[in-house]
Amino acid sequence: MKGIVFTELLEMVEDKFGYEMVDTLLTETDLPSGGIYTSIGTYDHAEIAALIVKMSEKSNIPVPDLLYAFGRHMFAVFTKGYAHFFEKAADAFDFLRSIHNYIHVEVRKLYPDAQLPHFAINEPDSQTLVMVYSSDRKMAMLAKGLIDGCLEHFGEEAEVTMQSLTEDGSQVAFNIKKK
Amino acid sequence: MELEILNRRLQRERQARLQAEAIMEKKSSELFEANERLREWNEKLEHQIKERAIQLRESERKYRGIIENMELGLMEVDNDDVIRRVYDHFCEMVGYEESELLGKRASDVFLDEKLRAFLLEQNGLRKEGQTGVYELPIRIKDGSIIWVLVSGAPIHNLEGEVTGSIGIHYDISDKKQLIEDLNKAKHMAEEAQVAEKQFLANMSHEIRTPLNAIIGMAHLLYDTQPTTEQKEYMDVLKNSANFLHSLISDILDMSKIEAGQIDLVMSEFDLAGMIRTHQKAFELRVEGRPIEVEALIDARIEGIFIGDELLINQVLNNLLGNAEKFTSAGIIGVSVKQLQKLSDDSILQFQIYDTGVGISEEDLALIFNKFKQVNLRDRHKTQGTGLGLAIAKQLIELMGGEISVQSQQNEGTTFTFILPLKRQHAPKTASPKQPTITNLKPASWHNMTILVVEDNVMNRKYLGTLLDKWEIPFDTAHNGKEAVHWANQKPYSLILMDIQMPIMDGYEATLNIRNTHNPNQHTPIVALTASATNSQKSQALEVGMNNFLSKPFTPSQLQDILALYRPDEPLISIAPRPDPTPTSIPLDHAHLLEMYGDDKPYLTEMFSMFLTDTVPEVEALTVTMGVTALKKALHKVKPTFGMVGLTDLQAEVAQLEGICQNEAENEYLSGSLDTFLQRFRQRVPFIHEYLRQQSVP
Repeated sequence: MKGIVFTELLEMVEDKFGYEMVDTLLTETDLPSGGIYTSIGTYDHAEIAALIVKMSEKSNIPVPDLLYAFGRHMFAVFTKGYAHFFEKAADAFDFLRSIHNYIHVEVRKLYPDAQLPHFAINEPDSQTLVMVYSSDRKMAMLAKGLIDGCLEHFGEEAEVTMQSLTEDGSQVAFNIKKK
Repeated sequence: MELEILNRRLQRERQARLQAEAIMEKKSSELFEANERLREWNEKLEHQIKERAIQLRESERKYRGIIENMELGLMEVDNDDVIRRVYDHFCEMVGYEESELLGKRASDVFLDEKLRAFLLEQNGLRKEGQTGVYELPIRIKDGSIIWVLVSGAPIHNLEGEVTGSIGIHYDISDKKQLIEDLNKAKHMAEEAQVAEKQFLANMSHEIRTPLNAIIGMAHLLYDTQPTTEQKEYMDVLKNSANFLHSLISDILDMSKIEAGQIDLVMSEFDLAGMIRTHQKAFELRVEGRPIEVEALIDARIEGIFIGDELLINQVLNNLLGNAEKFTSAGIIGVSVKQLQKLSDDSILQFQIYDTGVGISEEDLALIFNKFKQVNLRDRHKTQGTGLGLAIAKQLIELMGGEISVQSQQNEGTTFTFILPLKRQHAPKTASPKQPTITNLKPASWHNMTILVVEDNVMNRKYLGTLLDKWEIPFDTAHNGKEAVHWANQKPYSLILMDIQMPIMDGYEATLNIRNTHNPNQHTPIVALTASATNSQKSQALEVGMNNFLSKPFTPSQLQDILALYRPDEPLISIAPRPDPTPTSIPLDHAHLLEMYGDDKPYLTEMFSMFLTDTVPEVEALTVTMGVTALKKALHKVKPTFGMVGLTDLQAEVAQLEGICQNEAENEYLSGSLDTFLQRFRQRVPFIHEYLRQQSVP
């Protein structure tokens, strides 16, 4: 998993709870990397899962909520650091539609070893966008945070409902309906 | 505690920095390497691009070179026919600079008004993406016209739209000129051929006319009580003239065969009788020489055959003459046998053999060639044109047969030819033979008056001498104009008319006499012609002549003609019973008496009508008009024969009508019709004569 995910997670934790919490997580979680992260490095994705679980334990916040909050945080980070991806998109649907076939393609050019979730797109009508999330990471809530962050970024309002297609949560359908 | 955390944070931050630096270091070196590779790729690519560009230029140069060297002029126009690009060779072709043409409409510059629509149509096809090839005359800068072969193809842009067309022009002016020259040459050659035919006809006339006089005069000399010595000289004179005559005939025959002017004339004849006649004739020729003349005739060859009697006679005469010429002692002979018989058709094999000098093997191959004579060592013995065998071969092939030859030197030669002939199986209709009058008594000619029209002084002398001898009064005219003058002066019994004469020829004079009111409007006119081609004969009949006398003619031939038109023959036999076999005037007088009684005007009217209306109708009868039409035509003319006393011909017409049942009998029908027409033509002069006598008050 890309280092930026770790550094941003820890950044968010520091923002919300202070560095002490960061230190606690890094110290108490069993991390093969020793908790040394740099945004340009690559680390085992199990470490992020372990960190979030530990975080939930320490803060009494459920894991899905944490993932959702992290998703929204990450979107804000993306809009700042990768502004050029957003300039081309006319609206939220336009951007979301382009994730799989454009943004992920570009990401792979920069990070050939990146492992990215799959998004299948379906548009039953002009007001509705269905995105089917598929990933072994099972971080659909992170995706929901990103989606909501996106809607917020474009200043649009939509109702986003989630439906698990598999029991383990590796496939989840997002039904995004414009208001 | 806080310090510890801070310390750990510091520691973590340092380690992270170090890690980042290491990663950066690694990335940087990777970047550098990638850059290097990129540069190398770039260089490689640039090199490839350069090479490709060179190849492209080479390729373009090559094709341009090919096109320019092919002498093809290229020009590109847009969809409005406006010139957009002109290639060097096209400029050379039309004499314009490219700058003079760009921006102008090609049709305005190069085409005459009437051709512009055509080009517009072609450009329309280009817009639909179609190619086209066409020839076009274009006007070039110096004002002259050149012919070009144009191949037009549409030009497409990258989107595949047609933006114009490219024309490839090839100058074909030379070829056009060549075609024109060839046409001119062909025309000239055709004219020359016509001139040659004319020359042939003229030569026939020019040579035969004086020859006629020589032969005729030789005949007359015998009547001048010559001494034995003079008689000997006259024999030589006569024989030489006869030989010269046969030579000229050979040459003219060959020319006629080659010009395709010989038509087969089918008639019934007695083949066995013909062979025996030849045998007798050659027995006479070889009299006094140790030569025996044989004739071996297959027993199955009997009765009447249908074929061209004249041509078969000529072939036998040529081949036997050849045998006789090359045989000094021994046997010459002719054998004929039937090889095969298929209903009416017989395949006959003729062999003409001799025990003469023979022909060497190398000469055998040449023997049927024109103007080739073998045995040149004995030239003095073997005079001739060398055309005899070639003529025989051509005539046999014309009749659908073929000829071959076997020979052993000093042992003899055998010519073998095969000929298909039809057998006449229908009962031969009794035809009254044309009367031949011999032993004429000059006394019976007294009231005959003849007009002799002849430009040649020798022929006039010959004719005049004969007529004087027979005490027949005559006038002479030197040309057609004089003839017309005489014809207006007094009535004649007969006009003997030369064809080719100065001032006015025989045709024109006849037309004049026949179509103007004069005492000789119905007088028989007999053509004297040396150049008796079929076309001349039919032309003579067309203008209203009644008969022919081929020059040179013998005194007895002239007598036969005079007998036909002798006026003092009692034409109407008042005998109560008609003579079943009229000897001289074959008309059914009893029938005529029954029809007309004493009503001469009625008779005159009917006879005139027959001559003006029925004769052309009968002459037009032919198998080619189809069996049904022919039958109808025959039916129509049938009754008119009885009206003029030709009751026997009427019966023949009825018979012909009967044969006209199916197409399968066509050939037989054709032969019968020809025979009938021949007989008919022999009889027409009698109708003229009868009418003339009735008109005399």
